[in-house]
Amino acid sequence: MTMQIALQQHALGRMIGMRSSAVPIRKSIEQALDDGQDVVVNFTGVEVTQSFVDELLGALILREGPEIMQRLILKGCSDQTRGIVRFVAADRAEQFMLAPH
Amino acid sequence: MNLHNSHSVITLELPEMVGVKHIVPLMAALSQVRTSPGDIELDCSRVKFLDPLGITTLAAAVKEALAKGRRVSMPWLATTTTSYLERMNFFVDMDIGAVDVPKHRNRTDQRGNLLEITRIVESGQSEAVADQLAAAIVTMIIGRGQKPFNFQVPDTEYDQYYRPLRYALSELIENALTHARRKGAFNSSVWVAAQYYKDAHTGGRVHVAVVDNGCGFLATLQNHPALPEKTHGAAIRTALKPKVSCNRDIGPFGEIVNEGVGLTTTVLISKATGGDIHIVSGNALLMEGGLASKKRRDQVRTLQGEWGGVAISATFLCQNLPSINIPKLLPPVEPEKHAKPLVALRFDD
Repeated sequence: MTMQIALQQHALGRMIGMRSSAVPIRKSIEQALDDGQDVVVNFTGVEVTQSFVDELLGALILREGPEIMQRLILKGCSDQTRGIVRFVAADRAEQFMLAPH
Repeated sequence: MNLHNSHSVITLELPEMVGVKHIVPLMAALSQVRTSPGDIELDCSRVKFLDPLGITTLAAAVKEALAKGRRVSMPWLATTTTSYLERMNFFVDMDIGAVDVPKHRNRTDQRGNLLEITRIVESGQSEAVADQLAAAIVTMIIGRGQKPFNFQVPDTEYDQYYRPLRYALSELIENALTHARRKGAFNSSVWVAAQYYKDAHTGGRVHVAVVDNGCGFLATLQNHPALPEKTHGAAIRTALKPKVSCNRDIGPFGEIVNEGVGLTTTVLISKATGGDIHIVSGNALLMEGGLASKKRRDQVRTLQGEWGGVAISATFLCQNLPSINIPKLLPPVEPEKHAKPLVALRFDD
């Protein structure tokens, strides 16, 4: 089972920027993951900020560890979005690994 | 400047340029507006120009004084300036004396094609505010608005201007909302304003201001190990270091975290376009980019007054906005110091 999330349904204009916009989407992702589903996050046509990506994916990595990203497919990312996602994921993965568990 | 103080009315003089150009006397006056125990008369006889920083800080200070039950008047405000402030939505919900603003006038909602000052009291408003301001600015820059969306066709001319401006506005507002309401400042608000200035030589300039009346950088960072000394100037410098935040770690109740990168990146976007940044928090003013760099003057100055909260002004030279590559401005990650990749991502085109 795979859950599909199209970010353009949550965007105002071309971009989603605020952390508060990411929280309900992340909760949907967390619920799907808890239910054993994988998740496709579709970025097509939408630009994002580092804060939004951090709240959406960075918080997941901080809680669950970097392996959680194996259950997410990131679809339709622009070059800028890819760069931002790579930065956030690496930064939070490093923070997770350095933290006492 | 404090002209006189009688019968519990304090008279203050606003500078000629209410904004970045006369930021030192402006902050001295507004500091007294916010802390005055009595009513306030703001002598506007010298005022000729207000920029977004001036409008937002003035609105925040006057609103705070009115909320404390003080009466505020702004005598000698020129008719053209009054008209401009009304168009900017400055007087909404503020009963200010000695200003000739028509009462009970039905004001047309101009958001979308005019850069009105906006007060954000809850985070749910922020996405719409950032989008409306960025869209209005881009419409002014390129002379037309965005066509109806086709999400399959990215990176139009509109997008090339919209993306960095919207990114910067979002991150500045996010930063203000994150920091302002800490340390007991639960009733603080965020004010946002922007202006586009035409200039054939440089292709125009965008000026953005995001101001809050919260607790300020020093209060949120005072126990942070990266803060070298407990001064407002050091706190501003520390807040600009990448990955420094008051809440970088996840909270016990899953509350929103902060990566400590948004403000840093926004400053870099502004500087990459050739713009400049002014940040006021407490009694410190930090200037970066633009003339502040060319003149090699002290980048951090101590102000006479204090701004309780954070006031940020950022300018962007329009001709350089389309070339901004945001990921290149993010802090470096150092995967080479780890034996294996930190995280594997599954991208799918």
